[in-house]
Amino acid sequence: MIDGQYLLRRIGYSGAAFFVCVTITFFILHLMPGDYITNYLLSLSNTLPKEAVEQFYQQYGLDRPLPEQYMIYILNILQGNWGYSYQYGLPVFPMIMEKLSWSLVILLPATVTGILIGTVLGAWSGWKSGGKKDLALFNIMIVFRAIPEFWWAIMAVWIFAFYLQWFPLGGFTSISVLTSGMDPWDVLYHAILPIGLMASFIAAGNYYVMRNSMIAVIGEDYITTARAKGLDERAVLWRHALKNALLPMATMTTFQIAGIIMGNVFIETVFSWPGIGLLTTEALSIRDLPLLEGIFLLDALMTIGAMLTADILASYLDPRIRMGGHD
Amino acid sequence: MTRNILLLLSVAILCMYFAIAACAPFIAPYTASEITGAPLQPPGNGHLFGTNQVGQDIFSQLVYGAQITLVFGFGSALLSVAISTWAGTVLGYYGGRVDEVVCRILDVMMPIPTFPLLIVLTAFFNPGVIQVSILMGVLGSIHGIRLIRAPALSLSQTPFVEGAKSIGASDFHIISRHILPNLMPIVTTKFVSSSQHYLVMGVGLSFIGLWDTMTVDWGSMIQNAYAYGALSLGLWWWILPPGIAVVGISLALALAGYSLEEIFNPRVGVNRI
Amino acid sequence: MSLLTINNLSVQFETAGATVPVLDRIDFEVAAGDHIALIGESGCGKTVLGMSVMRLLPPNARITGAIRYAGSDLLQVAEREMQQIRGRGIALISQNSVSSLNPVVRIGDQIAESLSLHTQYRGDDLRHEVIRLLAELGIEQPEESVQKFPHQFSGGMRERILVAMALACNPDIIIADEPTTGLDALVKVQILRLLKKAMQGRTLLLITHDLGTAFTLASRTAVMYAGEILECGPTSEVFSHPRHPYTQGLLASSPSAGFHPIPGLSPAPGQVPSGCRFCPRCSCAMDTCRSLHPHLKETGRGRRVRCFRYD
Repeated sequence: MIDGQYLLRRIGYSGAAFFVCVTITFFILHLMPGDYITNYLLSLSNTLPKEAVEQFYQQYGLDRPLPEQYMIYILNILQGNWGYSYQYGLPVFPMIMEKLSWSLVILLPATVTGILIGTVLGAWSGWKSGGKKDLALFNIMIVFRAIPEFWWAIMAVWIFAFYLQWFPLGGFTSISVLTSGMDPWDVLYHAILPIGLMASFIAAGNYYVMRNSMIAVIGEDYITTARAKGLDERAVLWRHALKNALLPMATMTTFQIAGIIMGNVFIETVFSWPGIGLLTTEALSIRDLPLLEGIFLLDALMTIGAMLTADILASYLDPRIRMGGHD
Repeated sequence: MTRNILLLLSVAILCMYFAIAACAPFIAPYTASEITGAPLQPPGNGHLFGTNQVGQDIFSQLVYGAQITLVFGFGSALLSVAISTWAGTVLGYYGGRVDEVVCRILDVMMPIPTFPLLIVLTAFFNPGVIQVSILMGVLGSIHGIRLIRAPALSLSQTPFVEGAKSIGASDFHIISRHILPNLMPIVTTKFVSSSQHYLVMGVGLSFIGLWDTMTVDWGSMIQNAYAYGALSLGLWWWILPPGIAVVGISLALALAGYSLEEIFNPRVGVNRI
Repeated sequence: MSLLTINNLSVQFETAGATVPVLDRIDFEVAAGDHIALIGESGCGKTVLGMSVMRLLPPNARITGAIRYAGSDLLQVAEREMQQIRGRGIALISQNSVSSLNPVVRIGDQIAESLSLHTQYRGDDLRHEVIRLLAELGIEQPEESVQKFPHQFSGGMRERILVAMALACNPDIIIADEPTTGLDALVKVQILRLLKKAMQGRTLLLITHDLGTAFTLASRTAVMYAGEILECGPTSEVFSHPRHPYTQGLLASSPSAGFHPIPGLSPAPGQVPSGCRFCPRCSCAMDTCRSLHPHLKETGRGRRVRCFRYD
């Protein structure tokens, strides 16, 4: 049912966006003083035979002209060959994939609950906009969002882990892992505080978007039409307001994902959670460029993918896009 | 009414921050990097907030740190809004092929995440505060251009602009007299909200180690205190002052932003007849 | 036998710091089978009058007086009861055919909604009834149309869908608020013809600023200005022998009469003059008009006028 041309265009834009990202990382690597291979090899050993260096040059195509190197680079990226970390000497791609799985332990539950809570609260607040309860919640959210994420995280560690000692100070597992192996419950116990914080950040962001969107919708004429039919408030909300109010949420996904990526870096850094976020901080502190580029490409892939998904979802919800005739 | 009071209050707080940053040499007893006494001193004895792990005066660091934090937050917001306003107005007013092409490019650029890109770029250039502000401002304007272009476009099609065109007014005259003044509310609101956003992002980047160790700002102060276990040692005077400073200015900017939004765009919402 | 009686109806809007009166002590009756037009410039309060009958004014509206319908005062009944009346007792054809239909709901569902709320139609019967309504209102291919979304119809067709929605439950009274706005001349004529046919044997309260629409559809006309009724009577009488200077001016300002606009602007709500509200713009204003507020008086043949010249 979905308008094919629209879908193709969105996929085209997404591809182009990733292409731009890859181009940026390629040029950064090539603008570096010295070249990537020399830097990488020197990080392994200072005394390398000349033949070995030349072999590497050939293998990576560094003796070829720039356009050709560019093509090789793109092919490498597409095949999951994302270069080697300076610090760890390991291939970047498997490394960040392993870290990603740790990040997802926090991000998946946090995103689901955060979006759910934020959307429900925002819809409720917008529906009741102007009322005392709405204004109270709205003001709380403004204050919550104004305080930086890492500061919330530090305060949470201080209060819940240090003073109340309800949760561990950080890390992903207790010291007992050395004797009795990894225990999923123990990991969960370490993850609760970061998940809760991350979910709150996501909920707060969602709340604001949803409230605005709902306020715009309840001023629409079709809401009056629905009431004029004799529908009760609940039916007006569920059948007429909610679906329309959800539509703009999709276009806000980029900002949401960007916020989640940023929040994740701070949360993992404060809680020493061994995921992408902590890896970003570590890589930044030692200026491990290939690793940072890998993280950037992964973040770009996630954002672009999320935006594409949201677009398709929105076009499914909105018949004006689904059936074409709408840009 | 309360919105106006809140706006005045937040502007007063912002002025105070600026005054402190501007008069840092007169307020701070020491410089930010000078070693002034024994390490980890509690407050008192000439150190308002005590000293850190190498004996630098925390109060002086806080006061000098304001300069870097404010330059980053407001500088990048100013640049981003300037670029967005210029490009958005020109694109919206002239339209045509250039507008179409730029809009397609913006469509493509839109989903590229700014934050990790900024980290990659800074890790590569190892730049100073001014340069990072410029980078941030340029990257941030990608979203801003769209925001300004839409109202600029609809303003360009209003009767008063058509009328001005028909009596032969120059483009410059129309843009500066008719379009820009009408864009001011949205530009001002965007500037305030961007300042808050970039300031918090800058402190956050500094918290994860964006600057070299010589650059002292609130983010690196918090990072330093946190890394040396100020929390578990109970040295609250080490970590709380920079944290409260960030929270204070961020709250003031957020309140100013929302107040401006309410004043320029009163959304009583239900008041339609 | 009057179906709807409006007594002493006043509406004020409470805005930040001020109370703005929009309707001032309106008295008004709608008899069964009547086709009444409320005409006036925008801002005169005619839409607010319609929406107070539906009780769909925004929460900052303060309504006093009484609206009697089917033995009860609509301003007093519980919200639940009011929901029973909306759509079944009193239905609304809303102003704007573009924005009054929900863009993400199939039009068949939008029509079926009020049917399943107020009638016994269910399942296939419901579907057939919706299709019958669409066919009755001249929508082509009604079987396919129920599956479509509003953006797939032209302005004229959307207007027909709105009319179908209002007629669905066979309401006692239909309030039509500017049913022809935004339609081009040809489509407008079709819709007027359709409405005239559809309203036969029904009761219509038409709200419009368009004299042609009022003349075509209404048997009685009330002229509103700055929150009150200045003149009312049978449409043919009011149009052929307007008594109030405002009505005369309104008719002279229509393009067919040579387009002679009334000088000045209607007063903003809350800034009405203390005497006759029209007197600052009136060509035959007297001293009394400036100091005293005229009442709506019978002037024979079912007509009433609010003007000192007919005292």
